[in-house]
Amino acid sequence: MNARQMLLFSLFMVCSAQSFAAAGPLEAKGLWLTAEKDAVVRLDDCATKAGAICGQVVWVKDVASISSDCGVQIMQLDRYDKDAWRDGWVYDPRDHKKYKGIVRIKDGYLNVRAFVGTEILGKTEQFERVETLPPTPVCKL
Amino acid sequence: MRTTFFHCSMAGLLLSVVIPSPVRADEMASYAVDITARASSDIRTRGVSDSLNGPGAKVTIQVAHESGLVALAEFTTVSKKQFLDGDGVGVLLAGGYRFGDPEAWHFGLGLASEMFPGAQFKAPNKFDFDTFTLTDERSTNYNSQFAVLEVGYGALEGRIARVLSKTYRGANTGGVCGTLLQFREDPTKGLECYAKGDRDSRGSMLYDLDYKYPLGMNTTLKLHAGYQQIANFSEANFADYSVGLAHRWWGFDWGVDFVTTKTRASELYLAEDDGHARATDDDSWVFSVSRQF
Repeated sequence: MNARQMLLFSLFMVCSAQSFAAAGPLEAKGLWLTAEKDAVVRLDDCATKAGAICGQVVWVKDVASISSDCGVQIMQLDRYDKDAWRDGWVYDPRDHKKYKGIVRIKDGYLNVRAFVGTEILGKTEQFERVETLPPTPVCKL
Repeated sequence: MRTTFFHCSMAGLLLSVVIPSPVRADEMASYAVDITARASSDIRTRGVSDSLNGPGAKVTIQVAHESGLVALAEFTTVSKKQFLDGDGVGVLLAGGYRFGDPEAWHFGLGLASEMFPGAQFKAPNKFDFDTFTLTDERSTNYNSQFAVLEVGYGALEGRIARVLSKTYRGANTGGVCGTLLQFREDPTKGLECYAKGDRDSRGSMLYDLDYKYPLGMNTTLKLHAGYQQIANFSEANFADYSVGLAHRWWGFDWGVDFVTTKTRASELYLAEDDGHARATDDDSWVFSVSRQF
């Protein structure tokens, strides 16, 4: 196997590993940091709907927005099917609008897709898993 | 008349989805508006500079309605030395319908219109081989209209556009043959071009293939290949390729792209700049920063 074949084989193995690393429904639960690293969302079972998961803002970087953003529920997905949480909504605090939503774990990141109508008409935001909340500031939930 | 109707239809489609309907916080949004402002070291369209290799800016407004209808308006700064007598602005209006699964097969159908307000050039469209003189000088604008088909699978996106307008960016006998005659030292190719008669470029086909591969959370690798098949002027056919990286940082998308073209007749991509002919199809590194609102 020459160097070029080795490179192609390695690339194939990397892509294959990523493609087949399917996550289960429980994988989405936990703490997730936004790409801008300005907020953490906790995904867990919904208190108000059995079998669904909800996402709630539990930390914000900007002290000034603690009162307005802390505790805000930004997503609710009702069922898990075909490697994704589906049939729900995602709230965008920037434009104060609710969109249809779908949530997937892909390559270890939480991909939250907000869309209108069908999934193709949307945008995906990526979240990174964190184990603990940053120490300050503290959201009073 | 037909062009005006086309533009009015495009504007109407855009307006019909831009005008907001009131949405209460507990209601699901029925439309989404994305506005992106971009500054870059060069404005390249299909690998060729529209800004005479200089910096430029672009504002894109895209509106998607839950029905699947999508409208797009894009305003770009362009060089007045390439788009002669123009206002220095390029406008792209597009409307269409998208459907499918972004993780699997997805499709789009639409119409697009590219305009350069005020821009036009004068060139002779005939060569009289009896008197050996250029004749039939006419004005041609750079405006084009297209029918567009998009086919994608996951992050792989393909696009085919067919030119509906009489010319693609002014490619007609005067534009192509006149330029070959003006810039080539050997007039043979230009004369051969004129000898084929008065032609336009309606029916030209534009092909694009794009792939985006995430490299971590905020970084994306972008690959692009394109081919332009210009109807009746095979000498104007060309391919373009680019590879780039985009990185999100501080709310901005920072990009660097290496852009290259493979043209058959590089004379067609020369522009007069204060008495010098400057190539607009050279390989280039393009740096950009954009923000979505």
